[in-house]
Amino acid sequence: MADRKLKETLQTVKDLILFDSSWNKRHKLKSAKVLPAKAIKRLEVYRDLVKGSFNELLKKIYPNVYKLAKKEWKTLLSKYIEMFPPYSPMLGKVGEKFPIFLSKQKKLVKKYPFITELAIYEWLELEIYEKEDYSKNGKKNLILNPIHKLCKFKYPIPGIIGNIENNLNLKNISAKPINLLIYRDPSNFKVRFMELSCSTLDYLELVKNNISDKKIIDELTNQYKVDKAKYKDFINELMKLKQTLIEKRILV
Amino acid sequence: MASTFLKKLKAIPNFGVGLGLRRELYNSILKHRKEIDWLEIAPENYICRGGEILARLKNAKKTFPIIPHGLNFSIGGTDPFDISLIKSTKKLFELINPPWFSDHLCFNYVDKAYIHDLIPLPFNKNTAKHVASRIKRLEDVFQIPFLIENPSYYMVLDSEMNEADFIVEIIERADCGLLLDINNVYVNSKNHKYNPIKFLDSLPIERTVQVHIAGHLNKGKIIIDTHGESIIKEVYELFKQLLKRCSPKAILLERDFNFPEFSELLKEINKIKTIVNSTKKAA
Repeated sequence: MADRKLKETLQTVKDLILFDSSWNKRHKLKSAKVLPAKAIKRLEVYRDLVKGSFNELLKKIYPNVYKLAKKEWKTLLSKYIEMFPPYSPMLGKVGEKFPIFLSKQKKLVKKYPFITELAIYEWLELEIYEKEDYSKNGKKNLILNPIHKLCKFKYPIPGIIGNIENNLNLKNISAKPINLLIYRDPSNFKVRFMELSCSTLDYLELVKNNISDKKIIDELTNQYKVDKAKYKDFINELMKLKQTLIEKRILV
Repeated sequence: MASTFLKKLKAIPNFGVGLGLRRELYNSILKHRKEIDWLEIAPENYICRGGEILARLKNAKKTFPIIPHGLNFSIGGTDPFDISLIKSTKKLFELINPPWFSDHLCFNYVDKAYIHDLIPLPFNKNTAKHVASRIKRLEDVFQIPFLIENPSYYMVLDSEMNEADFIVEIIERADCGLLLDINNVYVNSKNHKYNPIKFLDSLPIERTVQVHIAGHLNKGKIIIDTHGESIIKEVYELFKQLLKRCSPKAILLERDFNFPEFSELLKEINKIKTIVNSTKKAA
């Protein structure tokens, strides 16, 4: 069994390394009792190493968010780690809650109302790239491969990324809903996006809910009020779409 | 009491000189497969992964023995082990079938938060007892030998013994192996002003199964173990001294970033191999 002193020491060291100095000022008395003065000074080396690695990691995961929030980045990073301390042994997961955190940064959201969706998109690029392969285990119905993600964004995120990358003006960007499928290309493992029409999105949502082909056709022909004359074409289009999605292993 | 570990050690084959399986080096490693004997991975970089990451590992496994080296098992931590990490690592081990497993003598998981660095423990008997019992628990879980690595450290917490005595106490209590990082011995000896040879002589060196050798960054007042530079002459010299004292089963050139041309890494690998062979001949 670990003794209480050891536990207290490790907790103090963790707090001093992970959390920023203003937070730790409130705990200064506690740490002075637990740690030798020289060790408190040397903790700075660990703080720099850890913060440095988190900083590099988040810049890599969120390159476009970083470009927009460069000025306040250091403060954001400290606040973020305080609010969402790393919970996973996988380093990349340090960045997982960053979109939620950003959504609470009022000034930044006011300046760039699309910033949370941009962060979600950038996070998904990593998450989908790394995600465990899916094994169907004999299920009969086609399903949407759970590696991929369907997203309904209020802002045209891929276009916004293009603007940021080309240093174009972001002032006139307004909300324009977009449906995206972010998927991992099985041929080269690259993460790509596909813009979806409303009907394709509805089709994929139904597939996602593990509904049979027949029921999907009934549902969609009703929803889109497909009359008899157009019924055959509608089904043909749907089947073509289905085939394409199977080839890309979006449906499995 | 006779050491079960030392008996097990006899049955472990020699793996030679290896390199870390890193995305940046993957293609070059495969191209130069004849010059690299085995590959090391951090389980934390492969658990719960699919796609390209898993495909690379599976492909590498066809050619190389894969030996795991943990980063975040928090061997000295006071939180219980992270069950999800243990479970997913067990699953990974079914894939790579490793001869042993190792992690650092440190802590990095506290109050369910990961620090993502190797933080030193206070060097004292109670901590040593605590660490030894956790090593035994890990060996029970994974059912393969466990090696503890001497990490580099930049601060000393409230301690009543020196680093070498602390390591000896743990290794003997846990009856486990040693992953000796020779660059860390050099770095620590400079940062904490001790004699590295005396340090080696204080350790149960016959328990050295694996060796890490790497470069570091000398910042003047402090040397940081970065794995991002070439190995310096003094570390090679210390490595020679180590080989006079033991015969490790596997040696790893650690290079984690700031990658040079691959030919530079091959030169370092060949230099390590030459040192190993000449030490064997001399013995």
